[in-house]
Amino acid sequence: MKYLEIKNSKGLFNRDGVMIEIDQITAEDLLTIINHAHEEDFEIDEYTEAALPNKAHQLIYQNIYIKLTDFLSDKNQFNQQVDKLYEDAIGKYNADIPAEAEPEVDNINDFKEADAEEINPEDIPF
Amino acid sequence: MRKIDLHIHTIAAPEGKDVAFEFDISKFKEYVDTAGLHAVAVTNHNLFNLEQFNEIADALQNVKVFPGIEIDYEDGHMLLIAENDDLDDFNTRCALVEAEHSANGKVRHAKLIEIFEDVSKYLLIPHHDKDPKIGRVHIDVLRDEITAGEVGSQKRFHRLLKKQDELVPVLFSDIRVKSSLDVSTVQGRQTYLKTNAEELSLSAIKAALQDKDKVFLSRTENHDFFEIFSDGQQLSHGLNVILGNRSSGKTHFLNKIVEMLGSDEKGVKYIKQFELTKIDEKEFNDLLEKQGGFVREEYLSAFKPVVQNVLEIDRSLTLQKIEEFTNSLVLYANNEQLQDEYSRAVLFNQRKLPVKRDGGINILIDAIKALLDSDSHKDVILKHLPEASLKAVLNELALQMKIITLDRLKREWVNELVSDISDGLQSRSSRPPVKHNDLSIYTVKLEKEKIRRFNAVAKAVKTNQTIRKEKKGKFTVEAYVRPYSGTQEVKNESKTNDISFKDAYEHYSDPFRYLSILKTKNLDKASLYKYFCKVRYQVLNEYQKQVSGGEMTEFNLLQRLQDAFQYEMLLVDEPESSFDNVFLKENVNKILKDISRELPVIVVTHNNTVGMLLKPDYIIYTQREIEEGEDKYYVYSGSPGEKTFSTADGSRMVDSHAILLEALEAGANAYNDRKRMYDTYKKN
Repeated sequence: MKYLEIKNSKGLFNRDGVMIEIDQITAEDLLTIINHAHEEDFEIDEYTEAALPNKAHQLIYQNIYIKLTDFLSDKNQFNQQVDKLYEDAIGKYNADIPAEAEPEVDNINDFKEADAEEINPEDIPF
Repeated sequence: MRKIDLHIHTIAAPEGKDVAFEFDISKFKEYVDTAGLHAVAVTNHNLFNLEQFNEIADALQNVKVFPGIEIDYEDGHMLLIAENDDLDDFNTRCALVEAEHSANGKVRHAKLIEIFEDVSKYLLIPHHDKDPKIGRVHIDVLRDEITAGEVGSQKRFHRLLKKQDELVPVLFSDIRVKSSLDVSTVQGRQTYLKTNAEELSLSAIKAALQDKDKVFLSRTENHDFFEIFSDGQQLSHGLNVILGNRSSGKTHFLNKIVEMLGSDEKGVKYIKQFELTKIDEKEFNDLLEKQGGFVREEYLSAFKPVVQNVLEIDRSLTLQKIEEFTNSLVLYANNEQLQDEYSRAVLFNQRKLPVKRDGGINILIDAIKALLDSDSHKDVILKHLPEASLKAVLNELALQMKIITLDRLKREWVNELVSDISDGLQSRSSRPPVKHNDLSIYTVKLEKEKIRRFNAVAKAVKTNQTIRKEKKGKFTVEAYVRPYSGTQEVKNESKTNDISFKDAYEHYSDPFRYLSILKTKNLDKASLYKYFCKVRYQVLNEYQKQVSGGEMTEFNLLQRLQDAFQYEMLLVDEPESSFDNVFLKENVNKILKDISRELPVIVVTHNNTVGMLLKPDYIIYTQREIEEGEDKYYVYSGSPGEKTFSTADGSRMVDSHAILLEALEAGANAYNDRKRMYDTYKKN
C-alpha cells in the first residue's frame, strides 16, 4: 500500500486509504505511517524536488521521506531484532504475541490526558 | 571379644592439616584403660616416628601396640598397619612414604607397591564411608589385600554391615592424643572383634576383618546395638526410648551424647523440648512463602530482565516528540515568508548523522577469543578450525571494530558540532525550526514492539497455573501463580504502608501502563517485576485437598525432621510437650519410626502414647537415688519384653513392669485406678 505519493505536483499521504495533501499531516497520521513502515507492501514515492513546486510540500515530504528511507534501509535488521526480542521470556511463559490487527499499544493522546489538569476558573485568584 | 582402635594420632600432621599439639603419653594410657582396649595402632599422617613408637609401646604394657601410618593414598586416606616385629624395616619404608608425600602430595598405587613390596604382609584399611574417602577403583586395585573399610559413625557402620558384597566396617576414634584430650568424648568409637586367637596378632585381626559376623560395636555381639559409653551402655541402631522421673538424669544422658558426637556438624540432630510446636495458619503460610521464595525467583527469572529493559522506555515522551516534530515541521514549511539568512543556512534544520550500530561485532570477537582461549576443549576446536585461521578472523574483526568505532566517534563529534551550530542559527532566526529532527523511526518502532511483547509476556506471567509440585511424604507442596486479587495484595508485596497502589492497580490489565505508574512510586526499581503476579504455595494432603490445622502441624513436623536423615543420630526431648495423644500416636510416632529405620533415634518421654505405642527397640530407664545423703544416678536398660532391666555393668537390676508403670502411668496404683474408671464407663 502506498503511504506517501507525489501526484499532480502535490505531496500526498495516506489517511485511512484516502490520499491527502501532505501539509495537512498530523502526529497521529505520522504515527500510523510509522506503524506500517515494516510491512511488506509498504510503498512510498521517491522524493524529487522538481516534481513538487510547492515549497511547503517539498520540505515536509522530504523530511518524512528521509526518515522513512532511513528506516527502510535497516528494515531487515529491525525484523531480526524484533524476532529475537524477549524470546526467552516468550518461550518460558508461552506468551501469545497478538497479531498486528490488535488495538495499538499506544495512543498519541494518552500523554496529553495524563498531563492535562482541569482548571476551575473559580480557583484563579484574579 | 577384643576391643581395638587402630587409628590414633600422636604427631600433628604438617601443612596445616592438624592444629599443632603436644603428645601426652599419660593421656594415651588413660584412654586405653578407660576404653578397655586390647589393641591400638599408632597411625600418623605420612610418617612413622620409631623413637616415639618405642616410648609408647614401653608405656602401654597391657595392650598390643601396632606400628602404622595413615597415607595420603590416591584420592583419600588409607591406614597401613604392620606387625610389631621388624620396626626398623617398617621405619625405613615409612621414610620413603614421607619423602614421596613431600615431593608429590600423595602416594600412588605403583609407588605404594614399590615402597612396601609385598603389601599382603600389612593390614590395609582405606577410609570408606568417611572423608576423605578412597574411590572404588583404587580399592578394587587392592581388592585382594583390602577386606575392611573405615567408617565415620555408628550409623554408617550399621549401613555398611547391611550391604552385600561390601567391605567389613570398622569404626575407630581417629583421636589426637594430647593433654587436653577429654577421653569421655571418644566413647563408642572403637570396634569389637570376635576372635578365638590366643594372641591378638596382626594376622588374627586380619582374619577377623574378613567376616562381617566378627565385627561389632557392642560387646554383646549383637549387630542391632552399639556401645555409646565405655561402661558398656549400649543403644539400638533403631528406636531408643529414655524413661525416668523428673531430674533422674534423662536430659543429662542426651547431653552426654551431644557432647561426644555434637562437635561434628552433621553428627547429632538434637530437638529440644518445645521445639516441635503447633503452628497456626498464618505462621504456616509465612513459612511456606519463605521456603518457596526461590520458586518464585526461578519462575520470574526470565521476566525480570524484560521488565528492566522496558523500564527504560518513556513512551509518553516519544509520542510527545512525534507530535512536536510533525507540528513544527508543518509550521516550518508553511512559514517560508519568515525565511532569513539564518534559516537559509543548510545547518538550520540539519538532521544529525545516523550513528551506526556495531552489528554485534563485539559478540563475535568475544566468541572467537573464547574459542582460542578454551583449555578444556582446545583439541576439538583446533581439529576443525586451524588456530591460524581463528587468529586471522580475530585480527580482521578487530580491524573492522576499529574502523566502526572511529566512524562512530567522528559522527558523534560532527553531530555535536551541527547541534551547536543549528541551535545558534535557530535562536537568531524568526522562522520556527523543526523540533526533534533527529527522531528515529527505528527507535520509535522498536519501542512499540518492546511494549507489545512486554504486555504479552506480562499477561502470560500472571496466567493461573501450577508452576511446581513436590511430594513430601503424604503431602504435595504446590506452588501456583495467579493474578493479584486487589490493591491490598500489591501493597503487601511492597511491605510498606505509605504508598497507594490504587491508581496503578486500575491499569493492572494493561501491563505497560501499570508499570509506567509503578515506576513513578518510591519503590525499588529492580524489584518491580514482582508486582505482576502472585505466587502462592499450598500443601495438599493425600486426597489432594488443602491441609487442615492438624495436618499443617504434621507437615511442619515432617519438615523439621526431614533433614534428620543427613545426621548420624537423632535425639528428641519430650515430643509430647506440644501435641495431643492422637497426634502423637498417628503422626509423631510414625515419623520417628520411619527415621529410626535409617539412623539411631533416641526419644526422651513421659508419655505412654510415645513410650509404649512407639514400640521402641530399646528402653533406657534413668533413676536418681539418694544414698548416704548424696545423689546417685543409675541408667538401666533392656529390650521390650525383658522382665528386668539392668545397668551396663550388670550390678543393679529393676523390674521392667514396675518402672514402665512408674514412668509412664504415674505408678501402678494410678494405672489401676484409671483402668477401673475406664471399665466403669464401659459398663455404664
